[in-house]
Amino acid sequence: MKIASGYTLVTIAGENVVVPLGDKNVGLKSLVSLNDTGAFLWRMLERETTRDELLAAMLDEYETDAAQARADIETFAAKLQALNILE
Amino acid sequence: MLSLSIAGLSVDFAYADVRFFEKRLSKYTGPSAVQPDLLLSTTLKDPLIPPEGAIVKTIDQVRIFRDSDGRLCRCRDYDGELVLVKVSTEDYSRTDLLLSPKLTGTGFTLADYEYVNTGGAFADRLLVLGGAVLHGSAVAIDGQGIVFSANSGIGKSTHTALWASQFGSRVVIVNDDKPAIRFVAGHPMVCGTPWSGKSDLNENMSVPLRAIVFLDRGKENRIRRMGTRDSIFRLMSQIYRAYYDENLGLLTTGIIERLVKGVPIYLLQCNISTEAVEFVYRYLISEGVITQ
Repeated sequence: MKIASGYTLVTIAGENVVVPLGDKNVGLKSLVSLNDTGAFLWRMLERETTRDELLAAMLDEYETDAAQARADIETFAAKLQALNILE
Repeated sequence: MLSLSIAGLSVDFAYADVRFFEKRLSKYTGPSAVQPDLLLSTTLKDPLIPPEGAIVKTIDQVRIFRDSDGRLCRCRDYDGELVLVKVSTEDYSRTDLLLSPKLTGTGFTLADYEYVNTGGAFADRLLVLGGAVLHGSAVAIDGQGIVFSANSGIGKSTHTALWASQFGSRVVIVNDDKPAIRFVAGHPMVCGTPWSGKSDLNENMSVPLRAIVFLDRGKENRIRRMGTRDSIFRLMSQIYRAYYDENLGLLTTGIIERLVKGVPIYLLQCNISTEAVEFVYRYLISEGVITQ
């Protein structure tokens, strides 16, 4: 899976904000902001990445167990998929 | 060709609709610059010749091209015919607008199209130069700038009209719909431009921007300072952001960051009344944002 084109993550005044660009900006209805873990996953997903690769990166970066990391990844992916930001 | 000074930008503007623009631009005439910040031209032509280039994308009936000189071309058809061509250089320092008289079939006048598209060209260039156009009604009270921003129809202009009637000559409507924001020596300024929406309420002036107030309708008057996240979202909704150029879209994020860090931003729920005006005025004084 991968972040859909037309979206980018920027840090504005300390907030990690998903910014729709170009035509994705038309009819902007809501703003997505991410915590540091979400921003980490976003950076990974800027290129095609599997769930297993995300899990391995999470376990490498954070002091967490596999079950919690998997749950975090699924929550994150579901949030972006609901907004059509993930393809 | 008219030489103008708008929000500190030198603009050379060859307009088509003399009757509409002569009045609107009269306050902004300025000295001719050797190399203006922005060159704007409108030409009426029939038929229009489509520009050559690789199509980048089509958005809402607008075809977007890049020509061999790197210029961004936007084309719009109506009733199967090309009726609008807008060509901008890569840095938006020059925009040429070609309009077909057949555009009037859409229900809008040619002046409407010229007004909207030249305003957009100004906003694009301003972004490249480090400023932005914010959708709102801007007032200066005793030389202190406040922008009241909201979606259309909420009552921005009605609210600022009440400021003008409440405070008389102490208040000037800087721009009733699309004020320009610039940073001068690092300080945010709000500036008048001729693109002020339905009204002619705009002045060729720049004043320090003391506050941005987002308006919501409410039965009672309430105001609070907004947090960073909400401020970013509101600004992103109301700052002019080009749909046709992702790089311009990115530039707005830098402006938003400067505004969030440098300007107090509030959310006001209010009714349409002079009490609401007095309420905001007193509150901003108590916050130390403006002085009496």
